[in-house]
Amino acid sequence: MLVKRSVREDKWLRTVCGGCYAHCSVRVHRIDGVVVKVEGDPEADTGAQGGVCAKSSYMVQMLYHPKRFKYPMRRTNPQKGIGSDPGWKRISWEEALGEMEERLKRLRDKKEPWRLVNIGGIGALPLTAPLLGQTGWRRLFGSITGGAGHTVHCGQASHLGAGMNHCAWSMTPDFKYCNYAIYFGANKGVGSGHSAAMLMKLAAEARARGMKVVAFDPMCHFAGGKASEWVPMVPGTDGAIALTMANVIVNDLGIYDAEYLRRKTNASYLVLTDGRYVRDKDGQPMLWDLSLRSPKSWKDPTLGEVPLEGEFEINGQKCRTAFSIVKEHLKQYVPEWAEKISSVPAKTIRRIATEFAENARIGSTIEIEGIKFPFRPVACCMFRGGQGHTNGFHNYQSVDFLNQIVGAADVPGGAIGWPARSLGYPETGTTKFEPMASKDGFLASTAWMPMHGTWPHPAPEVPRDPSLYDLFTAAPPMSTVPLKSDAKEIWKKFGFPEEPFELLFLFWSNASMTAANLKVWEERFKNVFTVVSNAVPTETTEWFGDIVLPDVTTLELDNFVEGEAYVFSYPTGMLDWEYHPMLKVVDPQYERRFIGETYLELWDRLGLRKGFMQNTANWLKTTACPQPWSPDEKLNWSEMTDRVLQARFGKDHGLEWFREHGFVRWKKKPEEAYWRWSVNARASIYHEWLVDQGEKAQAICKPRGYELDWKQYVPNISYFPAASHQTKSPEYDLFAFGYRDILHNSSATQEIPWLFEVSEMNPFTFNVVMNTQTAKSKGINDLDTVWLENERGDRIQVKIHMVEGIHPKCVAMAHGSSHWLKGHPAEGKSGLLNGILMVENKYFCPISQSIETSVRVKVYKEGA
Amino acid sequence: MRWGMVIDLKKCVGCYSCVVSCKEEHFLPPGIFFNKVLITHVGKYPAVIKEILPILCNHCKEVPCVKVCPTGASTQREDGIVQIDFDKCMGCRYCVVVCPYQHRSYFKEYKEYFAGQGYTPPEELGRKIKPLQEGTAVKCTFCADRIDEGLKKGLKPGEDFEATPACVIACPAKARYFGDLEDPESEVSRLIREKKGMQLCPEYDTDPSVYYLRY
Repeated sequence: MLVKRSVREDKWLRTVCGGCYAHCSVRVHRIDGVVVKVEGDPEADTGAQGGVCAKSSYMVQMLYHPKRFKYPMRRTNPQKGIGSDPGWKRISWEEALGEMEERLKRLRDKKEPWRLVNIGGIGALPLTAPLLGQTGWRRLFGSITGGAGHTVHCGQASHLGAGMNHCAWSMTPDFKYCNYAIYFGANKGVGSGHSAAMLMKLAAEARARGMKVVAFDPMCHFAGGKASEWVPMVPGTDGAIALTMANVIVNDLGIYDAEYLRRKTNASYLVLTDGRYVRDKDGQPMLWDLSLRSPKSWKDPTLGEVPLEGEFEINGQKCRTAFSIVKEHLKQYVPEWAEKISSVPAKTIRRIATEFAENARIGSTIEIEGIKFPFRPVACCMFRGGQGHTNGFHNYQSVDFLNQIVGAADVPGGAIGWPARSLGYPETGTTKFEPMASKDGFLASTAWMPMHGTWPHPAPEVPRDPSLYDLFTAAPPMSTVPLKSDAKEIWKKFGFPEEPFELLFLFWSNASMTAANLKVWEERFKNVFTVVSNAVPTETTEWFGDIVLPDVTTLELDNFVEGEAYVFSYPTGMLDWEYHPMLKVVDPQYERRFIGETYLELWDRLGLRKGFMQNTANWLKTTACPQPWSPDEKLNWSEMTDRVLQARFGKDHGLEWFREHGFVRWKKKPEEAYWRWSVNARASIYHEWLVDQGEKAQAICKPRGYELDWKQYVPNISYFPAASHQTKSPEYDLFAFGYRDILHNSSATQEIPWLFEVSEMNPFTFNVVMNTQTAKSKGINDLDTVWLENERGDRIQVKIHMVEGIHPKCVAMAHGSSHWLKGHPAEGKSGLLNGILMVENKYFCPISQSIETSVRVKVYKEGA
Repeated sequence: MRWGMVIDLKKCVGCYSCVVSCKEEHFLPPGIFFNKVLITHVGKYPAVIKEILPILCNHCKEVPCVKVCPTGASTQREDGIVQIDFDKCMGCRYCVVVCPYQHRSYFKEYKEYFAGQGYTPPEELGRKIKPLQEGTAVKCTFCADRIDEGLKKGLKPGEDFEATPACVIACPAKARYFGDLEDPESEVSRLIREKKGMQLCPEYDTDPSVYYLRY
């Protein structure tokens, strides 16, 4: 008989999940010092009031992964590359830090700090990575921050668009009140992305009460699978569909929220024939005051009623309202045209546009806790998929444009961003922030990620370093340039060395695999001294490492930074405010150390630590956090966490209080949740800034022979065929694309046994799927092995699973899998889309630098 | 008192949290699942529906697996929970064969999750505090230990987190409910009544305790 042993310790500890960047609130079960389970927190809305998704289990098996790094190591085999054994030898921390210090000092002495590239994985550290990379390295040292997971994971154009129009990192339907939502390449409420668990709960409740979701998606899978109506479409054509719907709504139906457009967008701004605003002597855009019959600045407090449409003459110059221009511009986008491009029937486009406009209930209001708001229970959302194209900026703007037309932005029922306005934590008055009017009257956020601003976008300048940030000022500054296959030619044009990098710091990342694509990675970084700080070996990226540092997992870390994710993952709509720091559950063993601590030590040695402490305090100040430390203080990360918690929430609310209670909660006010009409600033439906931006950028680039798709630098939101639509050869007849599987967080989770087991159970996760008819017409049977080859001749070998629920022109794979290491559990599973993505400069959106994530392929069997 | 579960298929998104949380809760070894999720496409392009079906032991009222057990290892409690005393089980697998829903498994032996790299601390601890017996039939227990411990503390299974089955509390879509099927006013009874809850394969005549609310 098996006797069950009794336990000595049985504790539940609070922290946030590190299974993905949603950081849902969790309770971790620790028995006799061993972490055995992660459960949700029934008291928290950051998360699903107790629910968690399967990815939470990753934390347990990652913590105890047998291959976890224990000590710093150095390679003894000078040959880097896939499959070659680095010959790791254990070294001391002092040796590792000493070498890093020496190399950094050399770069500093050479005055070429941009030879250092810093790449931090955002999979578990969405705010900490940019804090360390941007607020830290870039500002202090002048290095470049590279994009990790920047292919099938990230959303350059999404963050740019949501930032400009909603002062948030992304947008979601206000599930509590929304009745009708349209998704374009978005998985809101079905398991991936921001606030994964919380949205699953909210979306399920909304679904149960009858909320309708129309999902435009090439695949009937996550969004399509739970939608009321799945509408298959060709990848990259979202803008064509959305602009056509806008045309139907504005011109055919004549439905729009005139009041919202006049007051909350630039619809009534006056525009000259050259596309630019009429500006007063102070350079401020002007509107036509109807009673005075003359133009006034948007800033003028006496500005009265303004027309939405009209043509005027000012000082002999003809001008029109932006809305007049937009309305006319939309006329070219007709359903029959959109059908040819997207394969969505014209009738369907008209119907959905009509349903959206009618469900918007323009003019209706709702009272919430005694305050009256416009009620617009419709939302049109895009996230990762739709913007992952060379037309990403315009695609994303087309979709949000539908919200702007009917006034369904950050009002009850509409498309809302993550919380962008806080009137302060009641007990201390800290943690206050709100969108405000900035340049030209447009929205700017003060509570932003430690990276860049939402608006204004600085004028392009001659790039000072190989990141080319100075050129792409609208794009979130994780530079994609190092990962472009033609980077050498680009750098040559700007006078940078063809091999500019000497030092690479990588942390919490498997960038060699999650960046597209490996060949470029090898070429770019093979000869660069690389330090990799990871907890668990990826066994791909470390092959390029010279030094490996043993890092911690989220369960071994106190970290206030991830508590600062207001516009990223806080409870949305009328759910309360909740501040959840990441809290340590077990102490790190062996010589494991958090990269933040490693960097603090290096900055100390370089005399930069004080600068980092003050930079961080300055960043915290943007959300009204009092100075938590004197910059001279040498605090470790736990101590920094303690100070920030006390600064925000009071002396008695430090780390110990949070260890017991997990989080602080305070009531959300309706005027915070639905802030649009409380803030005197505007969203853009006509991107006048692109006129100057394009001109200035061209003036810099053309003399140097650097070409971008300049025709996209136009103020009207327009449809441009994505790069994958410009293939000449009919042989490459299918669009291959990737999607985020509910079970995985990029490559990090692929070999975690629990998740691996269920992936094998699932017909999609480890298979590449193709439409049944398409497969049959190509002589492919279920689970046949085929090659997918792009026009460059790059190819991947995959197993095809035939399904009905995918567009006939598509072949799709879950992202993050298909390791190339022989014997890796995920070897040969799914498909490595990154292996066939084309990464020349022309495959990136010229404005947002979103990479084209659908690629044309030809399909054939071995020997065919 | 008859414990039962309701799963709302409209709410479920197929995140597998129930599957994995159950494995964590019971320290289940590789290859053993008490909860599963079935996913498929139904229909022809473009009229396609994605069906997601979480399944687990139905703790049937007319319980075939108990009827065939030669040693009396499989029994049914008063409250309807079907359980296995692994000390009495000899691993004949008659119950595994006879269950029309294929919800029982034969547990041959413990294996490492990280093959060839030893057992991790949770695996070792699990074998000490919540062991399975090699060579026996295993299945979902409706988390009887959570229910019984919870009741002792005066908690309500289905309402209080601690006393409720792990798969129910794990669901982020709140698609799972648990309670007393014999109490007409319980949440599960009301849902079944008001939303026409259905049992899987009623033609098997086993009267499952797990009901589903359709899309």
